Amino acid sequence: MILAFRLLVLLLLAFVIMPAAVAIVAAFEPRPIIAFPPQGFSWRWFERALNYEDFRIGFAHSVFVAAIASTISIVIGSMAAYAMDRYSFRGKATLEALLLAPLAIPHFTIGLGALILAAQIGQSRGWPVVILAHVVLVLPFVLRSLYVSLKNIDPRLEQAALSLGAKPGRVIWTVTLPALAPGLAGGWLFAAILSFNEFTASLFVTSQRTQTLPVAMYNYVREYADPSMAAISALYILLTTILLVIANRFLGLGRILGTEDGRH
Amino acid sequence: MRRPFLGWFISPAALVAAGFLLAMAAVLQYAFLAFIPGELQPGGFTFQNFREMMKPLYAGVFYDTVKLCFLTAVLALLAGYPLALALVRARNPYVKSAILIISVTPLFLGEVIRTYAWIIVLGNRGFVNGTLMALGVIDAPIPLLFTRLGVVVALVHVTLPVVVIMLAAAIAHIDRDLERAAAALGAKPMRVFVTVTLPLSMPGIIAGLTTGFAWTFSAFATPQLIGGGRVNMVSNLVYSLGFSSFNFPFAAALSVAGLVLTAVALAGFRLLLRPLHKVGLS
Amino acid sequence: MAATDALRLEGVTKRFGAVTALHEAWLKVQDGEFITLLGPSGCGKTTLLNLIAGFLEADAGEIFIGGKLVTTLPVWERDLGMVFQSYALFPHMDVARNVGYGLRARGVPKSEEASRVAEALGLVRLSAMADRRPKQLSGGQQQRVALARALVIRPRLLLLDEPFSALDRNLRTEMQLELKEIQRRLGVTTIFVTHDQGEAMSMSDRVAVMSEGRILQLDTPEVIYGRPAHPFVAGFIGDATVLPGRLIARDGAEARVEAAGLAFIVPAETLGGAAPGAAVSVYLRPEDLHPIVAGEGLEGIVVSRAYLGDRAELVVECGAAGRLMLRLPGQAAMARWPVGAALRVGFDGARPVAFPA
Repeated sequence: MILAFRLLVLLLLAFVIMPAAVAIVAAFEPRPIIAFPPQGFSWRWFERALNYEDFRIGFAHSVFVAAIASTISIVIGSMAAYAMDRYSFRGKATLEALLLAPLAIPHFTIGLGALILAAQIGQSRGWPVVILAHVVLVLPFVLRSLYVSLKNIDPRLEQAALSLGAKPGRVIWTVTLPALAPGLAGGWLFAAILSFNEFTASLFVTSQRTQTLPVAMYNYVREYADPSMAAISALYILLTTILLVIANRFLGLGRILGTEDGRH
Repeated sequence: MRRPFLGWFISPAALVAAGFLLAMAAVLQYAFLAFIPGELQPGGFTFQNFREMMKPLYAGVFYDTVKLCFLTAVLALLAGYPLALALVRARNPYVKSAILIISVTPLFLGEVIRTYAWIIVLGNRGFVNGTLMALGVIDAPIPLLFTRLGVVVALVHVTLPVVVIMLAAAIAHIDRDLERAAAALGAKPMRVFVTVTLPLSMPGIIAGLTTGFAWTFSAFATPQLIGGGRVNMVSNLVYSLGFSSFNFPFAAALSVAGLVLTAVALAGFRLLLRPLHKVGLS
Repeated sequence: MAATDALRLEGVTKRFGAVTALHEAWLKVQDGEFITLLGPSGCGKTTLLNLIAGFLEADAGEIFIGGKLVTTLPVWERDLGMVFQSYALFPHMDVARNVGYGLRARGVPKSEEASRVAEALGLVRLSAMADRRPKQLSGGQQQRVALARALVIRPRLLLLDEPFSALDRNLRTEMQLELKEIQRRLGVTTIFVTHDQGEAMSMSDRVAVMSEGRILQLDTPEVIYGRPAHPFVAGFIGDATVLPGRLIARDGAEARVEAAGLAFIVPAETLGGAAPGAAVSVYLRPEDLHPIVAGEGLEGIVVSRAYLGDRAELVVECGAAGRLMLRLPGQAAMARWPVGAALRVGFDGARPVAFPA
C-alpha cells in the first residue's frame, strides 16, 4: 500500500513537472514550429527571445515594477503586520479584511477596478496604477508570511528588552526587527516573484508604454507560434526554480508557506 | 494598553486598503452606469447591464464558469491531497524539499508560462499527440487544445499548487500522537487514515476547495489561450467586453455578478461542509 | 519460565544516525508488574518505550510480549494500551467514541462495544461524560479518558508516556493514586516513562534508571535509593552530598573508607576492583547527617537554609570537607540554626555508598 501511495505521488509530481519539461525540450527545436519530438537541436530561439525588443523592454519593466512593488509591500506590510499582531485597535478587523480580500477577488476584477479608478483621476495607464495594483495583489502574501514570522518570535524577548530599560522604538529596532529578518527577506522574495509574474491585472492596467514581461509574452503567444516563447519559458523556469531552491535552503520555504510538520 | 507607533504603522496600509476599496467602488459604480456606444465616458444610472446579463449567452457563460471552477477545485483537491500528505510526512529532508519545490514552483511561474507550456503539451503536434503518434498508438492527432478537457486539465495544473499548500498547512497541524494512538489501539494504516487523518484534514480540505474555486474563477490566460474562444469563462468575457467593445459598464457589471457568485458559492461550500467538519467522518 | 514474561527485551539497540539512543537493553517484566523507566531527557527512555510500542524499529535485539516475538510486528498488531503525554484524544469524536476506538478497530460488535465502553468509563468515574468532546473536559478528565481508551481493549501491556506532566501538582498526586489503584485492581502489566523520581518511587514495583541510552540499574525503589549501583543513580535519585575519600580496606561484602577525617562502612560491590589506598567518592544522604552536641563529627557554619514546612534543609560549610546538606524537622531547624550559626555534624548510623573516583 505504501508502494502504491509512493507511485501515485510520483505520478502526480510527474504531472506537475511535465509541462515545464516539455516547454524546455521544445525550446531546442530548430524549425520555426512547436513539434514533438523535436527534429534536432538549436539555440536559435534562445537568441531570438533574448534579442526580441518587446521581451527586453518587458523584462526591464517587470524588474522595475517588481522591485518597487515588493519593497513597498514589505515596508507597509511589516508595519501593518506588527500593529495587527501586537495591538488591538478600532477598525482592525476591517483593515485586515480589506488587506487580505484581494486573495479572494479575481485579478481581472482588481485590474478592471484599478483601470477605471485610474481613468477617473486622470492617471490612466501610468506607472502609479500598475504599482498600486501589484502592491494590492502581493500584500496579502506578505502579510501572511510576516504573521508566521511574528508568531515565532518569543514575546519574552521583547519583554526582556523593555525590562532592561529600552524604549519601544529601540526594542523594535534592536530585537523585533533582527528576529524578523528572515521573514522579511522571505516575504520580500515572495512578493517580488509574485509581482514579476503577475499577469491578469497587469493586462488591464498596463499600456504599450508600461507593458510587463508576462503581458509581452501573452501578446507574443497570440501572434506567433515559433519556439521563442518556449525558449523564454525555459529560461524563466530555470531562474524561478533556482530562486526557490535558494529561498528554501536559506529561509525554509516550508516555514514561510506554513507546510512544515510541527510535531513528530 | 500602550500602542507605540500605532498610527505610523497602520496609516500606509490603510492608504493601500483605501485605494483598493476605491477601485472596487469604481467597479460597483460603473456596473450601474449606461454604456454609450462609441463613447468611453459612461452615461447615467441604469439596471440595464444586469438585465442584459440574463440573456442565455451570458447566463450560459456564468453557468459554465461555475461548473468548470467546481470541477477543477474537486480534481485539484483529489490530486493535491496525496501530494500534500507526502510533502508533510516525507522523512528524508531531500525528498521533502524536492516535493515542496516541484509542487510550488508552478505557483511562481505565472499563468502565461504555465498555459503556454500546456499549449505545447496539448497541441496537434504537441507532446501528447506527438508521442502517441510516434509510438503508433494513433494515426491522426486527437483534438485536445481548444477543448473543455484541455482547459480543465490545464486549470487543475494551475490551481494545484495553492491547493497543495492549503492542504499541507492543515495536515501539518495534525498532532502525530493522534495517529500513533490510533495505531496503538489496533487500527491498521488505512483505518488510521480514514478515521483520524482525513477527518482532521477537513479545515484544509474546505480551504483548498474554496481557494481552488476562487483561483479558477480568477484564471484568464488559461481559458483564453487553451479554450481558444470555444471555452469561455467570465474573465474572458469581462476582458473582451472591456477591450474589444470598450463596454466597461457591462464588464463591471459582470465582475460584480462574478464576485457575488463566488461569495455565494464559497459560503455554500462552507455551509455544506460544516457538519462534516464538526462530526468528522468516523 | 522465560516464555511467560509479560515483556522481555534481549539486547535491544537503537541508533539514530551516528547517535546510539539505546545500547543493548535487557529487561524482563513479570505479569502484573509496574515498571518505571526513569531518567533525564535524552536518556533513551522514550526511545525504549517507542520500541516496545512499535513506533520505532530496533537495529538489533529482540522484543517479546507475553512470550511472543514482536520485534518486527507492526504497532497495530501488538495489543497494547498506550497513554500519551498529550493524551492524544481524537478531537473529532466524543468520549464514548474515543474509548471505543480500539474495539471498533478489532471488529467488536456494536452492543459489546457499548457495554465495554460503559464499563471502562465507570472504571475511571466518567460515565456521565460519555457524549462530551475532549475539549470540554478538564486535564484530569482527559487523562482518565485516555486511560479508559487504553484499558478497554484489555491490552497485554499498558504503556504510559509521561502521562502526568501536563497536570498541576495536586491533581497529579490524585491521578497517580487513582492510576495505581486501577492498575493493581486489573493487574495489567505497566511500563511507565517519567523523569520525575518522586512519581517513579511512589508508583513502581521496580524502577529502571536510565542514562545515555543505558539501563544502569533495575530494582525496587528501596534498593535504588538505598543501594544505588552506579554513581549516576546515586546522584540522580534523591539528594546526596559527595565527599572525596580513600578506600582503607575490603572485608567481604563490606569495605571501610575514609573521608573528611571520618571512617565509614560501605557496601563493597560498588567499588569494583578498587584496591586499598584508591581514591573513592562517598555519597551521603541528607538523613545520614545530623547535628550533634559532642562526639566525632565535623565543625561547620550554616551558609543557607530552606524552609519546606514539615522539614528544613540546611547547607553547612565544613572546612576541607566542603558543603554538606542536612534535612531536619522544620520548626526546630528554623529556631536553632539561623544562617551563620555554628553546627557540629555527626554521622552516626550513616549508610553511605562509595564508588571509585
